[in-house]
Amino acid sequence: MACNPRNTFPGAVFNSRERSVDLYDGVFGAGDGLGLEDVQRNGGIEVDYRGNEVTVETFIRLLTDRFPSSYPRSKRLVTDERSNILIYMTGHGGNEFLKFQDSEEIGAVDLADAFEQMHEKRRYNSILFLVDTCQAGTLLPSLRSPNIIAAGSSKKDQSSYSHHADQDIGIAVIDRWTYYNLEFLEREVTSTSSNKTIGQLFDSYDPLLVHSDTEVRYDLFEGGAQKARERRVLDFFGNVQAVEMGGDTEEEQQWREDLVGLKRLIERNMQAREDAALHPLLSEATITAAEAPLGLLKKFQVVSAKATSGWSKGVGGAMALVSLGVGWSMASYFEY
Amino acid sequence: MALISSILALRRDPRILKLPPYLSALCIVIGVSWLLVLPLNQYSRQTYVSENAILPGQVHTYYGGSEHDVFRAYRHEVAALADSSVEERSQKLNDIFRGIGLKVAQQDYTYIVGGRNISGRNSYAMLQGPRADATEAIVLVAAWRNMDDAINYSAVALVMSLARYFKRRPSLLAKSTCTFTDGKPGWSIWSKDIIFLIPSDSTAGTQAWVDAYHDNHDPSTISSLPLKAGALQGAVALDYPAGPWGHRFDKLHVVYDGTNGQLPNLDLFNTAVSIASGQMGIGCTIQRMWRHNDSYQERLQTMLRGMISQGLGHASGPHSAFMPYHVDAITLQTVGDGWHDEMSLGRTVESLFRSLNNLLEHLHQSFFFYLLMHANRFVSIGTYLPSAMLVAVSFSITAIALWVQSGRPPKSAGEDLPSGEKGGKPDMTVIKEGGAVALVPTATLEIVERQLAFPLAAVLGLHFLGIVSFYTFNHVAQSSLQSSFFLFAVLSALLPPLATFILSRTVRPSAQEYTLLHSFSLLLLGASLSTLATLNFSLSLLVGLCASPLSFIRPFPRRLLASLPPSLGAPLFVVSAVVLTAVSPMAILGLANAYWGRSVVDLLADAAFGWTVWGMWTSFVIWGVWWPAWVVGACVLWSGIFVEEK
Repeated sequence: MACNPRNTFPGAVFNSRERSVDLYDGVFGAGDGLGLEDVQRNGGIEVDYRGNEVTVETFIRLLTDRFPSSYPRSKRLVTDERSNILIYMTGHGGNEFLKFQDSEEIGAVDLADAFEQMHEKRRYNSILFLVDTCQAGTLLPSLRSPNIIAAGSSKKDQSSYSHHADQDIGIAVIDRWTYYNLEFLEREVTSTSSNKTIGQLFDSYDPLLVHSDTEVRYDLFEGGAQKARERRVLDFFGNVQAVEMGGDTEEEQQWREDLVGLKRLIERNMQAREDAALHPLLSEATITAAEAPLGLLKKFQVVSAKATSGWSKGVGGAMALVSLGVGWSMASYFEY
Repeated sequence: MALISSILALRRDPRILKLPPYLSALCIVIGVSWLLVLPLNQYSRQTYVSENAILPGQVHTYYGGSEHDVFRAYRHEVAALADSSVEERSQKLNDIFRGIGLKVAQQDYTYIVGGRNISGRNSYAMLQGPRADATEAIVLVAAWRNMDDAINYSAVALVMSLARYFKRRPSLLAKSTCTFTDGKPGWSIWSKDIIFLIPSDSTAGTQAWVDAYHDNHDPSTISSLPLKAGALQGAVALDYPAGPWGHRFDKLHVVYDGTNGQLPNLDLFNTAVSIASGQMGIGCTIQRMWRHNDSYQERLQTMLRGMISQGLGHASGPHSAFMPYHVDAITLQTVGDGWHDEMSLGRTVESLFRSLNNLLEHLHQSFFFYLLMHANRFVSIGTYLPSAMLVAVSFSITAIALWVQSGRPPKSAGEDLPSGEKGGKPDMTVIKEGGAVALVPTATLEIVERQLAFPLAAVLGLHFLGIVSFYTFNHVAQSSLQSSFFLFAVLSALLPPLATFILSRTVRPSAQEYTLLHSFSLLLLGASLSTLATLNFSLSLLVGLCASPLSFIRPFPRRLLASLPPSLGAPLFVVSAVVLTAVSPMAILGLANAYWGRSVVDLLADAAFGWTVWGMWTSFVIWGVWWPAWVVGACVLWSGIFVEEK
């Protein structure tokens, strides 16, 4: 679509008529040449399937991973039973179908079958399925696999509308429901650690602005509407690892104990080395002493990235390094 | 059982044959009043654009500014060519296009019509869309001489200026400007190639070009095109004869009639009107209705004018030549004195071409058969077709009635039981069927054989004669058209009485055979007109209405002539003969032309030109379908005088 000859801005796709962000090009924004070079560079979108490759068959194969083994990994959906998948579909559709490429349609039942196959092959943990077409809500009732949260932009016999047009390209550049989804993401989800929930996203739609009534399906989700609405938006919309910072005294206490123990060990090591220098028969003891720091290291937990108490982390790290260095020198010294 | 038998008994009922004439008349009346009802709001619809891809008027148009200076320069150049020869002119035009950076070519053509030689040279240039796939093309036409034979200065200059603009407009984004091999910037949004055509003549030149584009030309008189693009998707022609100092116009007159009554897809018309009146604020008119208040009378008048234009089947502008090739085309003609100038028209064309550029397929969503009564109101074929069909059906009803009548035994065979003249009883026959016994007059059991040889031969012969006269009119020299038409009119007026007289002395056809002749002729007429209604609705309706008296002709009874006093009988006959002549094709053509202030000779010359150049078959319908039917009607009328009734 970006390379369609009718595109006034070849190779560029915009989602608003301000043309502030070229979605396809992370390096040059629309401002290039017009004095807006300092516009935020959001990075390009990765497109895996474009043009004639986008067919119903390819889409279903992608979801169910029914490809020959020679098929490149970069074009597959590589997921397993721990993956959360976001499926966002937009375009033209109708009563229980969605249009692909002006020449074919995918039916609600085909979609439901694809999701069921994904469930059987354990290809997802949970799916957020969002559809922005006319009568999008009619795609939802056919779904039958667990752990799917589904939302459609309009009910049966209701149309979904575009938001605004770019009068230089000559077409509408974004649809209303998508626009308000995007607005929520841009305004509310401000960082990669945002705790905004799906429920908050769905509640943010104003039918008077969207001009259609969103239809949502929570019943497939484990725990029903309550649990579904509590899921974070970033569980689906961002590829961000969930990290938990401890911060409670029990763990800190354990650290201190570990540090003390380590200190004692090192002292013992030093002592043992001195003794070994004096007493060759203490080699056994020194070996165990050399092993001890390594064994002690196993007890060390993976320290989180969040820095509430920076100095303890620094000391812990330094101690670990020192003990490693000592151990290494011990071992190399006694190798000869 | 009783019901069926009583219905079947009606077959022999003498009263049933009284019904068809009234039925025919009713059909004609309903057919005409159907038309009168169409302009009402309940039966007509607002126009709308059906194809979603068009998005009319959604794009900013930037034609203007320095393009205006370029346009003015081109217009002065074009004005300087007013008196040049054809070669010089096309050379200069090609030079200008070459300077813009387009590929140029030219084509010579010659048509020989009625001894006249119509020749010229078309020049055209092609803009290849830089990112297009070269499979489709759209055409922008500005004929050197427009339909009124005035030189089309501003339109030609506008086409050249738009060619330059479409090629070289610097884009809004630096990175999206493509650079051509000559280092200059270019505009790369075209998905189809654009051809800029400047034919010598509005109708002949364009026809030669389009025929040659589709390899449908006669290579000996029309040269082939050296340069072609892909399949044509649409064409827009401009008619703006303002001279070198310009002329601000008031409205755009949109001409959409094609050859043989074929119309472009309504989407193209609606897009042009939507862009011109919506985005640009230029009013649009159709069918030369310069002031239209959207009242009933004006809607009806527009519709009738449209029907006459469609019925004539003539080429109404440069766009008409594209229609037979299923290429939708319209002509935009500037009319009036107002404040819109060439920049408005240029921006209208730019926006229209951006909309055409959006198309992925041929225009197919909207109607191909419609009647427009206002730039914003139309009726589609489903609503208006019954009108012409009813008129055609009236002939078929009469034909069937005449057939049934021909199968009846002659009157003197015993159906009128003698009331007092003969004293005896009529002959009776006894019929036994199963257990039932009936007494039936013998006369009703008589089988009447129909003699088909003479009627068939006569009908076929007359139609063949009609085709011969059609051929003659197309090939006779223009100078002798007047005399040949006069001769033809006299001959066709004399043909019926002479033929009937000669036949009554030689072949001696009976009254039944004349009835069958009439029946076959009307049958053929009805079938032809109903088929024609699907091709050219207006022609079918007009011919049907003019020929409608033919279904009410009956042989003028000689008994009547003899029994009435001479002062009444002869004039009555003369009146019916005169009425019959008045509805003959020749008389109607003559009267119509007198009403519109043209001569019949011009009409015939145009018809010959139309057939030779555009393939217009309206004159074929007149001479090959209507005229033979009229001759048969006249023969039937005169047959009453000469045929002996037994």
